[in-house]
Amino acid sequence: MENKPKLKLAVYWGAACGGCCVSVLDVHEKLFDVVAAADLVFWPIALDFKYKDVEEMPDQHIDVTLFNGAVRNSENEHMAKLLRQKTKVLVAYGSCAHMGGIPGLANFSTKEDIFKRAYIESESTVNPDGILPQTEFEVAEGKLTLPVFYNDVKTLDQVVDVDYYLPGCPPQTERLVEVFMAIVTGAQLPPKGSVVGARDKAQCDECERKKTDNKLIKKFYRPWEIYDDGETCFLEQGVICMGPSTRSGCGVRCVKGNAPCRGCYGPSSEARDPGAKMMSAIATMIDAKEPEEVNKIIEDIVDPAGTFYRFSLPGSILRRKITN
Amino acid sequence: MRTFGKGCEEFYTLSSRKNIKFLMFDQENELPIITKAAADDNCDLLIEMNEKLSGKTIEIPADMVILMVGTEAHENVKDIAHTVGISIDGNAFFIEKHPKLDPVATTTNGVYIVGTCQAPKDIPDSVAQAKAAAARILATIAKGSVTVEVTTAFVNEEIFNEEICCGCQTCIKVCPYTAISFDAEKKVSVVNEILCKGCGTCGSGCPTGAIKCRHFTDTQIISEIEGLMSMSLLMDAQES
Amino acid sequence: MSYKPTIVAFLCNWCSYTGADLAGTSRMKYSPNIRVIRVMCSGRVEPTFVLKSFREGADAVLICGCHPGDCHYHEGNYKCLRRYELLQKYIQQMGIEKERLRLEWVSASEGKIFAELVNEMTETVAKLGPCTVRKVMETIS
Repeated sequence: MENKPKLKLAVYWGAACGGCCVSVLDVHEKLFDVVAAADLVFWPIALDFKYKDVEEMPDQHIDVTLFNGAVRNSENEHMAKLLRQKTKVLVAYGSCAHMGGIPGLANFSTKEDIFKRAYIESESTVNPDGILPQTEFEVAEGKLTLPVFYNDVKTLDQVVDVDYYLPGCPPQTERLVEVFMAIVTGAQLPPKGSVVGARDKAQCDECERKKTDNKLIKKFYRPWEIYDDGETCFLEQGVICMGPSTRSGCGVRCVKGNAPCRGCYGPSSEARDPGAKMMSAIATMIDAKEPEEVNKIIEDIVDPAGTFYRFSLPGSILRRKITN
Repeated sequence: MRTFGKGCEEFYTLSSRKNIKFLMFDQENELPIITKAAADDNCDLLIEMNEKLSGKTIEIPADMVILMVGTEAHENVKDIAHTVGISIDGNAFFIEKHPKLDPVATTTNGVYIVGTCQAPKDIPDSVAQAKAAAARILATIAKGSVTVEVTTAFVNEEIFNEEICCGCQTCIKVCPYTAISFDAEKKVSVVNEILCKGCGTCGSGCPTGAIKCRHFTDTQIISEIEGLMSMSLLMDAQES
Repeated sequence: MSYKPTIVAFLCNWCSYTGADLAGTSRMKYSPNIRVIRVMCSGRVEPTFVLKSFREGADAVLICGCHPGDCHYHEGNYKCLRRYELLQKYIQQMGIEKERLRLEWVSASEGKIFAELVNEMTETVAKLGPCTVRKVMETIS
């Protein structure tokens, strides 16, 4: 391995919380293995590089880029396109780049509504002149610019061509190391467009809770409304758990912590829409035949869109709320 | 009075000779009322009824009144119906596949219904139906093979060398024919394609997309949607 | 040219599709706006199909199945009902009017009812105007 040229690795963030970058840092002592095999050529959160350093790189210079975060503004888009051009293998890293993630929930509102709330209406805002962010502003020293805030949050693959997806909010560091080591050792890579670092089988396969076929729900509970016995399948207790339609790979972390799965790893390769399959399955479990009775039970699913598409609204079929 | 069925007329004549009288009450008016007779009535009970043919209210003295109790289905028929995968009607009697064309078979292959589980009936009718069912079964056996549905569901296997079914068991109660069972060793659901009738409900209820419905797969239906809609758009474009 | 809505209809093989067939063989006239997709049972209709129809440009989606209690497969239509009610809640959250998605029971003998249903739905949807899902998606990407 010593004779092999070192891999050039880049990590970049779009509309993200920073958790994905932290998950990269979480390699802890494995970091020595990583730096032994790779040079980090660009990672704004940890290392001082400028955009122009990337711009000056020849095309395909970077071997692997982990792009985390969704595409929310013109800067995200510019960097996504730039990194695509400079990178051999572009990985959508984490739920936001993969399916839109939590920032993707902004697709329930519009740019105007978000600006109004954030810069005018919010309780902590004092903005009597109602000034909203401008993309260009003249000062004595010259022109200041800000990226353009888009109306829609997009997934990475809605902007550029993506080679692999590494899902999770954030992805489990162990999975990252596995994938990274596979690349370093030259193991055969899966076909382009594959999801790596997660299995196609859903969470239930690894979940240790007791499961039966008795999934008939008379009432839905939110997790705080019941005393979870810590043993029985959440769905059988009437708590919505996204486990059955979510890839495993995280080690069933949420359920092991007695919280139902929320679906950050996304659905299996057989699902065309991230939330629709689970919506269909949950509805199937409702134990009622009369429309009134069914509706009464459904009333307890307060926010179906937010529940079934928590991490995946921009990557879903409808992508955003339709406003006229 | 006209009696129902072969030999019943003779039965009626015999009964009449034995001084059994048949009266019909008017169902639209009040039902017969049975009261305890007075001490000097020389009988125990009195029945007051609207006799339909004469239109008069008559009183009949009686020593004993036997009420005919309606036939009710057994209380656990729902469990039986679910276990073997057949339907019940509003009165909880089993429903045949077709009242005229297939009166002893059910919607589940290999399950036949005979006698009062289907509807109240007498002994000759039950026997006749039992013989019909036996003949129907023999006909199936004599053929030597059974034709199964082609539009069955199956649990998808071997995608990326890994079965996709995660063993959540959502599908098992969904199947009206109990065709899906859980393989505890492999931790996956298995569709018995001989029992499957191909309704596709399990395919829609499967949260992972592991269950596929032959001839009605997601891919096929979505292609249909795309095809239909692109045609529509094309037609719109041509018109405008 | 007046606006003509496109309605994607999922009809169950045993009742509704046969009902639609009856409307045809009885030579009943009804709006030609409907695009029929046959499924074995209304229980096969997945939310994905409905969402996909809207995404592809459908102005409305109609799901028809056997009357409650009459399902050829015992209770597929009840499962369809449950999915429909939840889906209805979801599409309204996504800004799609509830009139654009309908679930109706049509038996094999109800050709006339089917024809009337299609006419009535076409009229309702025409009043709503085109569904903008496809257009919005085109402007995003």
